[in-house]
Amino acid sequence: MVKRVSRLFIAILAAAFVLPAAAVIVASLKEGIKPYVDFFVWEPKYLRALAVSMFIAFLSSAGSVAVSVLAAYVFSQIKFRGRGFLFYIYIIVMMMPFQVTLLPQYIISKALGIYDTPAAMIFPAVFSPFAAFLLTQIMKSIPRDSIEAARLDTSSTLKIILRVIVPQMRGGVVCAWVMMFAEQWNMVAEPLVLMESEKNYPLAVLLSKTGPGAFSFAATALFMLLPLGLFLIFESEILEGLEGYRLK
Amino acid sequence: MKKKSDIFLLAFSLAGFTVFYVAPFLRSLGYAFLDNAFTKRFAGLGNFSALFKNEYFLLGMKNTLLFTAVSVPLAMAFSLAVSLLTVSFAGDMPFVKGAFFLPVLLPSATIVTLFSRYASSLPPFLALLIIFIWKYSGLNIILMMTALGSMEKGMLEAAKIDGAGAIRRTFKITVPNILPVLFFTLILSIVNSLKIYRESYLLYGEYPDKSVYMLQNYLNNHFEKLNYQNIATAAVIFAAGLYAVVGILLRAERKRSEEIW
Amino acid sequence: MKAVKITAAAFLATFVALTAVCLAAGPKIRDALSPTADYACSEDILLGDRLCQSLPESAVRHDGEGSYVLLAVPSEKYPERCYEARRTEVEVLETVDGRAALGYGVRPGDKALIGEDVEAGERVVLGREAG
Repeated sequence: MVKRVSRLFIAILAAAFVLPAAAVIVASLKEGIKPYVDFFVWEPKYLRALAVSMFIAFLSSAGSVAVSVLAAYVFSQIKFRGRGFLFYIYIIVMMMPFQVTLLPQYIISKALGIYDTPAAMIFPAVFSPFAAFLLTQIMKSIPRDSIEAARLDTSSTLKIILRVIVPQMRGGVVCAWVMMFAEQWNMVAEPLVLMESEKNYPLAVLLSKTGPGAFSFAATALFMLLPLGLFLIFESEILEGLEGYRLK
Repeated sequence: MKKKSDIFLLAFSLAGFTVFYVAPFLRSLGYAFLDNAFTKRFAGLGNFSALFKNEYFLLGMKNTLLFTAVSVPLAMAFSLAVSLLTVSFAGDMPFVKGAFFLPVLLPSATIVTLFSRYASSLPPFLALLIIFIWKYSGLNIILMMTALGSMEKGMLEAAKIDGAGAIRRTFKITVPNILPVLFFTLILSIVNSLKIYRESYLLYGEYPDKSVYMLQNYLNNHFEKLNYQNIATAAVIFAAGLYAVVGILLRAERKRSEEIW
Repeated sequence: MKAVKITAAAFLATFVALTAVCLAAGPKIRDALSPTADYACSEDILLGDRLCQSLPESAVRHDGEGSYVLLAVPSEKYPERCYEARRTEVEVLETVDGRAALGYGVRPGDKALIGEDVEAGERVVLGREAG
């Protein structure tokens, strides 16, 4: 009996977590598909912003995973002096909200001449410590034997990472990629600081200015389509990735 | 067997990390000790004492601390309760995990659009609290459920036979057993609680209700006024606070388990 | 489960492709969906000793709020060069030889739209210049 009730309770709770996404889609269809046609045909500003979002999120998440897999390998498999301290710095920076690093990032993007371009968003994201942190945690669970065995076949560490480690932690890599993608997709404060031309703004920024009405719901629904779709496609990998994470 | 030279694989990450985070941060540290960007006179701790007299800085600090102090334990307790309840039957309800995790990936705009339309009368602090729990609990729940699922059942059974009650079993055996994961989720929850500014900004703009005027509002608004000394000084204080919190957490954690990081 | 994944993947691919197509072919799609309207250019006309602007009578529209014309003005909303119909109130002073002499509202060379299928605020494709 208790088990029944708790099952029911959890099912209702889970439904409540999904509800907002469903509610946005339902609300956007109140006036039929007109707001969707508006989005794709009559509001090129929003469509362009969607493309900018895609560009930034794809590039920065892919870059970040590539860089972080290598970093995670070193952090998780190689002992060297200062490793603990360095990783500690990564964690501190990871915890800082953007507003704390806003001035530094503004200064550096001006200095590098990438201010007001998508690159100003992409570069910091590629080197953001979150993916390195997550992948390091996941990579710690890889059995050492399999890496040692692979060493007998090849001396190239890069080959070992690509052929042995990445396939073994496929879930973890996909998980880090999707989470980075969702994070970049969702950036609002960063573009406002690192860009000044409105034509470069990603959709997340414009959505805050749509005002009420079916169009804003439709734009929101389209905006969550990509993370939602990635989640549906990679759900098992994402969960497996997080579950593969063990602290010994 | 590990090749020491493999350390160079860290170089890409470390170089970018240094260029885009560490170096500019150190550079901006300088501003915290200058009286202004033009005369560039050394100001000692003048900026700091001025900041601690600034009403809005204090308000922002108070609210940020308060929000983290309320939201993080609440989200942790909620996630733990859900995980404990769900873990025994998660196997036959596969969609449950996915449902809880979904909001983690959804953009803030989703919930913000709904809230601004249907729940705008909610007190801002409460609204942000609900959004926080909705958006970020999923990650905690997945991690906690995994840890719970891989726990050895033997100890719990033994305790049950010894006559320990459910609550006692939970706090004496289960919780200590998944402590590393609790620690990991605690760190992630703190990180995420500091990100609530995004939802706050989308819902209430740059000048929200006093109850949710966060340190991030202060930093953002002073950036727009090009008030570098102020934000650099506030950022130093913020970073020092985080440094202390993480340090304390790590130390507490190290005492319990040998090798984590 | 696999069906869900495949559907989601196909859906996402369509979505990204649709975005790309609509972005690239946007101007053409909008042209195809916009009404085409003929237009007339405003010309000087001498009314007694007063110099006024004049348009063909067919370009002047009337409703409960008075007389107005729909001028084709360059639109800022779209990245491509195009026109939108802007409602402009006018005062008809007199009609001479099928041309309405206007008291205010129109400047020399302004293009006024002719025809029923255009509404104020709409994006329009310019047709032929009416004789």
